[in-house]
Amino acid sequence: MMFLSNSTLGEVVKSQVEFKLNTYMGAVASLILVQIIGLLFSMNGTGSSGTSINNISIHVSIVSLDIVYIFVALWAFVIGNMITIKTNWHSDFSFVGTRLSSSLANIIVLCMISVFAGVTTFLSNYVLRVILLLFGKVDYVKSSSIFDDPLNSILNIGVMIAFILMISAIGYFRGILVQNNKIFTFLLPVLLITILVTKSGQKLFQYVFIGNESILILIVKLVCISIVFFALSILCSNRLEVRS
Amino acid sequence: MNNWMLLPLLGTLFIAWLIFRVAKSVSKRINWNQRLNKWTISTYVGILLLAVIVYEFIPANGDEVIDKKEYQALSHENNLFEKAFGNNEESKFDSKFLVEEWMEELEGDTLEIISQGSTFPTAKLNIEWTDSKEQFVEVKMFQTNILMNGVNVTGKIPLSTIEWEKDQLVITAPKAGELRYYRFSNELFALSIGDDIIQNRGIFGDTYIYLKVPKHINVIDKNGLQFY
Repeated sequence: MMFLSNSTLGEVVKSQVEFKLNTYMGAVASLILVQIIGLLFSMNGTGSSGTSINNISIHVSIVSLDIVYIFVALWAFVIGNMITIKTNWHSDFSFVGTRLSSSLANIIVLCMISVFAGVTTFLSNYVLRVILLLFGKVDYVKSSSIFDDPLNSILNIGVMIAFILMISAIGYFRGILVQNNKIFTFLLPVLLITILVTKSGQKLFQYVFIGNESILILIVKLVCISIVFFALSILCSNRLEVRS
Repeated sequence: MNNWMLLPLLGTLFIAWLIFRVAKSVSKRINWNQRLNKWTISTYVGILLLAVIVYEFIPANGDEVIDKKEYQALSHENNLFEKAFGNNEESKFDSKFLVEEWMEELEGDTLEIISQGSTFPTAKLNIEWTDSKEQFVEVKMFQTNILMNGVNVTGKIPLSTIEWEKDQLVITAPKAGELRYYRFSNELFALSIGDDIIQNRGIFGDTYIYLKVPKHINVIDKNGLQFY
């Protein structure tokens, strides 16, 4: 085949990333809605503990990011999946590229979106703090902020980004599998539930998510899982049919 | 991990899925353009950054979470006091726990201790027998450190009150009340890592009453408050 100009893989991927970022701007905007809904659900706290001493019951509501995070995680799964749907996949044919360049562009876009989602999810906790402190009537405990504990904050942002990246990678992989064969639409949820209810599946789940000695180890595990899912997605996407 | 533990997660996922479905159908009816998207994202990021700055300027009148070292020190103080109290080693009592002390003169030879206002004892009591031939009883009241989720609430927990009514020592529990706090966390609660979890920083201190009673006085302790 002959072309007027020869583009390198890097250049093709770059132009595809720029195009995709503009295309998915709406999806990023929807993240804001998702976070706001999560924040509304977090108003009463995400965890609590209490005890009673001298007839006085002490109740501490812990306001963390867990609920917002569940919403954002689901959003990340939807976004990962959405990138693979046919209308979006076909937009790649506007560019001279390969399946590999398209997959790499998708992965880079998912990484960028994950970074944005992780950082904004972390910061959204501060909106909740300000609202509850200014308008709430309950005593509060002065909790550490970004400036009090910058290293820990960076690590927490890192774990959030890694988690979102992993979920979007799973969503992306699921999307690619479904594009290959529709039977995976039903097979994958069954497989997931089976893993979660079996002892070995639970052990694997605990190994990855629970009992980590440090946040860094967890981040490394999550990034490794993401890489595995992205690699599998690239392999599977090569089996996709050409545009009909 | 219990399979039932998955139910809240599945419930939340179901609610989130429903919201996504509604949001998707609504978004189809709204014609968002790129400019509006960019404007929305920029404004939101601006609000988030502003919130971080505003939080720093909100006056710090709230209680602070104590660090691990301080927590361990306070816990150690409580343990030492508890041990000394149980062994009647008054000289080892930490004076910082002393709330009040006084002497009371009994009319008869019997001292009755009554606890009221609560279904369970709200104070621990110990007696040191003295060789004194007088009718005086010395009373000392202590309160040890109380921490909840890393917050020192010692001064905020009202103490039992002590009254003397004709050779009766009446210990009345404080009225039922409630203390509520918000504690913000930068971390994911579900992923609390390591053995130093703030939620575990709890010290459940007590109110202690130490009596010095002459040996010839007979003490009746119906509610079993005495620390043997």
